[in-house]
Amino acid sequence: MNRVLRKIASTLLAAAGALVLVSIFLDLVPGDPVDAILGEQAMEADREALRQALHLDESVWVRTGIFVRDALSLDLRSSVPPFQDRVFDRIAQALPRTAVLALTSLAFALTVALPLGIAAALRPRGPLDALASGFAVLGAALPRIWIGPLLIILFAIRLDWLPVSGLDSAWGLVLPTATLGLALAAFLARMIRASLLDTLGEDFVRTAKAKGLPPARVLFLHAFPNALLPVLTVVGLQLGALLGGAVVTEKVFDFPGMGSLLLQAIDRRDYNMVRACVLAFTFSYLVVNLLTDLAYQAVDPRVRERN
Amino acid sequence: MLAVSCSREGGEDRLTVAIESTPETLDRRMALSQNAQRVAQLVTPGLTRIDEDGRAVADLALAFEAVDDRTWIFQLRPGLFFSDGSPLRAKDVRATFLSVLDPALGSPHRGGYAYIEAVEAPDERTVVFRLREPFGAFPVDAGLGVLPARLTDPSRRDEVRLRPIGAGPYVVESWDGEGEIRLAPNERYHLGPPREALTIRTVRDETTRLLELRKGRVQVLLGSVTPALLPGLRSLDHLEVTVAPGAGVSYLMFNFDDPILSRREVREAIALAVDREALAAHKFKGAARVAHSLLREGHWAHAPDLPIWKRDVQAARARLAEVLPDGGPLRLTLKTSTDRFRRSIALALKAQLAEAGIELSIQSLEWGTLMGDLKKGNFQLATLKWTPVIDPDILRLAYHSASIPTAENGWGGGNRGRYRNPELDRILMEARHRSDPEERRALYARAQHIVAKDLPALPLLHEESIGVIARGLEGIRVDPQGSLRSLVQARRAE
Repeated sequence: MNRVLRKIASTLLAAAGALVLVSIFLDLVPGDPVDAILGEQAMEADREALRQALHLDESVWVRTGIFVRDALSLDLRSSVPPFQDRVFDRIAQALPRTAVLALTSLAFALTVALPLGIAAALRPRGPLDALASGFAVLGAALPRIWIGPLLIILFAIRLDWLPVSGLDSAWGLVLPTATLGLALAAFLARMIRASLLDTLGEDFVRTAKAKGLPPARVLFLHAFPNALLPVLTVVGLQLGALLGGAVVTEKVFDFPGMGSLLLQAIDRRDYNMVRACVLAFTFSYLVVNLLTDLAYQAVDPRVRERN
Repeated sequence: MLAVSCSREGGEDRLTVAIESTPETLDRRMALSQNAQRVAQLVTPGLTRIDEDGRAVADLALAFEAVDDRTWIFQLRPGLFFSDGSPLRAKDVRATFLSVLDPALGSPHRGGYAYIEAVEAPDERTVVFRLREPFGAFPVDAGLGVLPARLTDPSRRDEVRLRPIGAGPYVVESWDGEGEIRLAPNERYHLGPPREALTIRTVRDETTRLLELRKGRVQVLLGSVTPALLPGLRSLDHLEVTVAPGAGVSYLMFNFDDPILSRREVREAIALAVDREALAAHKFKGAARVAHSLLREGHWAHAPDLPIWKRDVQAARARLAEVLPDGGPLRLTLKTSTDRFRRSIALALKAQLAEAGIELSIQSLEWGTLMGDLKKGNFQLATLKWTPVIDPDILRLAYHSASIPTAENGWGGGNRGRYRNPELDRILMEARHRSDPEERRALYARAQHIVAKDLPALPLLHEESIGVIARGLEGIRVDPQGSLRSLVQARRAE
């Protein structure tokens, strides 16, 4: 119990830190947001009105304070006067979409990476291992901004199976999932291979084999759970990153998630929305981190013991 | 950029238009972005609209005139109706304009309309605007989208944002402020309802927009297609590429507070060293025209017989020799944005000026830093773009000495080159105060001549708009101001 409370306290502290940092950075961005919002042909009176509406004459601390006050009142609005968006409504729409995309991408990545990584570890330097390594290098090297359009050309245009962009139906999830999942799968396959290879060399595996256990049992009940520990850490980190809005992928596929929301907020210099997005990212990251910790406890008896 | 496609759904014909960013509102009193304005114009037109030559012409108005230099009278067309069936009357126009001036609405255009002293509606079809000061470009500003009086109250702002009611060709069917905007034909539109319903979708990524076009869900792109894509697009059989005048003009700006650049010979040498034809042909793949003024040829106020700065490297060297008797190279710094395309143009300028013995060093700066430096006068040369150029009053913003950014005017104003010419100031103010278009044209012609001679900035190119239209769709045109009006006429060829 104590531990959970501590965790929550540190989560809140981290969120406060993120908020202060992003506020300071927004303040450091050179140039006058009024120019960016109103354009060069605006009248001085309108510029002044906007400057006051944005509290630009106040210090960065006062502005951050106003943001916190509005956020706590749960009626946080876009900071630019003509945009009357309720910030939390927008995030409540976008975050679940991004969460679904993150989970499908992770599921896709694991589906590809687990068999590939295991097969590669079982026959190191074999043909499957070479394939897995090649795939891993390729996956890490190909940028999403390139692989995304390539998948569109193949599956949406040549084969005409899937929509190009948007999320009009669940089919719109497929290509972004593949784009995000491929790079992740490549990375995870390498991790799984390396970790499993290490574990397979451990004494307890040799013991299990010596006891005459069937090879499948040795692999899946003895070696694999142990090999999973470092992989779990990486999966947790990656999931956190995916929840932080895969900005490039969401832009390419016009996916209406957190990445698109953030991009639009930056375009419009909607500081409240940017701050709220960053807070949402921080919280999702920390929540995933918390879950990873709990999963660790479930999987690793040593961690349980220590607590 | 914008893309259109046709599909049949529910038995009706529907065009799907893709734009690169979601409008923030469909309320033209509040709209800031070009996309918001261009979509909202389809629903709520105003008394006037901007014609292809940049002139304000009657739209909902039948006719308008200035009865004296501060009073404009607009006559409404007979039989106008809002899409909800209520008649459009002078009092609706009055209420719309007064609401913009109401601080409670919080319109970002309130200051822009502050010169309006009173709006009167003496009868159902007459609107009288009384201005605090003479303003010849008022018909341009009179294009504000007219709303029914009952919707103009600030308390209904959120409602108008998503679902304005107007007398335009389309009516908002559904929009949640974020996703696609569905527009249905307005059966009461005074010129007859359009044939097709319209869906407006946001597709942020240019590559994706083009792929949607290839897929056939998108059939037309209107507006900012990158010129670099032109050769590739031209090679596609099922698409027709149209290049038409745009409303943006790029320019090379000189800082008059710089001791070297304040000398006419140096500015002339640079103007003579730049090869703008080459930039248009190679950087813009032909989708640009050499500019001799901020106003493009074909604009109603464009002065026809302006002096032309054509490339002449020998003459440029001769001019430089007058300033630098020792013949040493002239070293200057050019500031531009980090945009890759703008940077590549700056590099081309560097190569061109080098041939005339001018050494440029290029600094590409993040947009905010660049604008900050330019406003404070912390530069020698810079490239920028004016967009959109609609009324010639933009010359005042660009070259009037009162438009020099200073701490007093909150660093606003577009005369960042700090050019001062009392004669030009006088002409520009006089032109602003005249309401007769012929008098304005004559004054602006004089102003353009002074500017072309004095070179406070060298206009580079009028950058054109590119339209990509699927074969089989007719009636859609690329508009210099980015207007979508021609979609109303879209029809499929048999």
